[in-house]
Amino acid sequence: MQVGFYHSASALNSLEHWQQSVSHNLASSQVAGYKAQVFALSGAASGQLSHTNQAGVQVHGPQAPVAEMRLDPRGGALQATDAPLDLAIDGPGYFAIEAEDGNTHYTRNGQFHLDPDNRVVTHRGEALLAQGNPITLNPSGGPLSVSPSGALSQDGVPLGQLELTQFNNPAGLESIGGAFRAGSVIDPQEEAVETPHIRQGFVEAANTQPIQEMVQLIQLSRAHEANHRVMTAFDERIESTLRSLDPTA
Amino acid sequence: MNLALYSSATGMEGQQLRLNNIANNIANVNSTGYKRSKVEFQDLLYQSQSPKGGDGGGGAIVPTGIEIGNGSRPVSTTKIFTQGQLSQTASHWDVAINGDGFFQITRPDGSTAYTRDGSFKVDSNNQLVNSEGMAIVGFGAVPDAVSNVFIAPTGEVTFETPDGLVNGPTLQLARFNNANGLKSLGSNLFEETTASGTPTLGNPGQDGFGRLEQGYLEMSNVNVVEEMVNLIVAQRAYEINSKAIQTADQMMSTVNQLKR
Repeated sequence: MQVGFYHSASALNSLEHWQQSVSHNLASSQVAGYKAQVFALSGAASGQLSHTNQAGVQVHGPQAPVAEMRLDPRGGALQATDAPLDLAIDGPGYFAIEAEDGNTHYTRNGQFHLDPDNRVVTHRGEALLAQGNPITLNPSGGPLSVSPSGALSQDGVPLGQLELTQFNNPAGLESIGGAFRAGSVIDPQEEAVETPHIRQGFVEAANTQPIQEMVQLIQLSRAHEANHRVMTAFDERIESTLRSLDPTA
Repeated sequence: MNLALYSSATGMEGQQLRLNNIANNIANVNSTGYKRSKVEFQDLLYQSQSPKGGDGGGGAIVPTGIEIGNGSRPVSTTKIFTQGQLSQTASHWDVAINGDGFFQITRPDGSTAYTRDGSFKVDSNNQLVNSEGMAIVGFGAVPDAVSNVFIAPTGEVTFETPDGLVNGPTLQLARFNNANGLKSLGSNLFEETTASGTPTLGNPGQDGFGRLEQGYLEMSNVNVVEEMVNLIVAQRAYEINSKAIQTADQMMSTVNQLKR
């Protein structure tokens, strides 16, 4: 049983997952509010084979021994756009938006627009919530003004208060493409941010760090190459063994 | 090999931060009262494979040992509070501080901010305010129908009204033990922190406070030539770090090709 062979194959598998994470980060480096994925492999589980444990249960070796895939919580750079509906969060917290099914989702992407009903919505039409209610602007009331603490007003007329939500256990957030929702398996422990810092006219850039991603790419491609060499060496050894033991040759 | 990759990556990120700082300084070359900042770096922890002064066997002591560092990281950004050039504007509400000290401004939420930007205006309520409408601390209201105002270098303000000369309040300045500990708020404003210490108030021209110059504004103290030189250095350091990464990559490739 060529155990080392399967170890190398398992390593190649996990390196591929790592590369997917790296390329996802690099591809999303221009997405507003994107948080980079940080990938970690489990040392104990990598290279583990299917076996029967002491309780007699068949344990399948993890095909992708991912220890964790968490999000890098660092804030991205703020870019000035001067668009009155572009909001950026300076510090922790997420905007609350109302999804199509009525649930509350959370996002850092602060590029908002007006829908035909004059509500402040994301590009997919999900309404931004201020204390649980969508925000409707008065079409003749003047430009929307958002104070750094989240107070909304139009020409001095108060419209509501934006509240930011932060999570003590971010592992409980499920990513649904562009936004997050509170997962059902792990409780993310949400709580309101006491002193929000919201900047109007700014957009938060992705916090991808190209240098780190490229270094990881070098690392994993060399590791991939090394594992590939090991598998090739196994293959050649088996082939030469079979050839030398061949009675017909 | 891996250590070279990560050490060089920290070097590149450090130079990137330095570049961000240089770009900010250059962008603010025209901001009134702007103080340029610089980034300081420190080396990261060292891993010792053979400790200095360790036992070399047979009673001998290892004189130098082996220790490898892990790269660098930024440790502080310091504002350099040197005096900026004074530029004459001939507007009678523009004041520049020639020396130490900050003007005190009241922010909309009631807290006090400090600034070197002395481009003041009078708003519709006869309050003396800065360019964003924030009132100067302790100044009170400006009398109606003021045709001219004189601000002495020691801070006393005199208004010229149709009734003659009227004495106004004295413009006071604030000073800190550690001006570098002030938090930059943007809008040319600084905020007090525990690192900066509490401010000492005083009249201009006394006890080491700077004098006021009416009709002048303090320009930023950014030295464009120095920033350009730092830009070249940062770029070349970035390039050299990337060369180290590429070399480490090639060496790893050589290792992988040992077995054909």
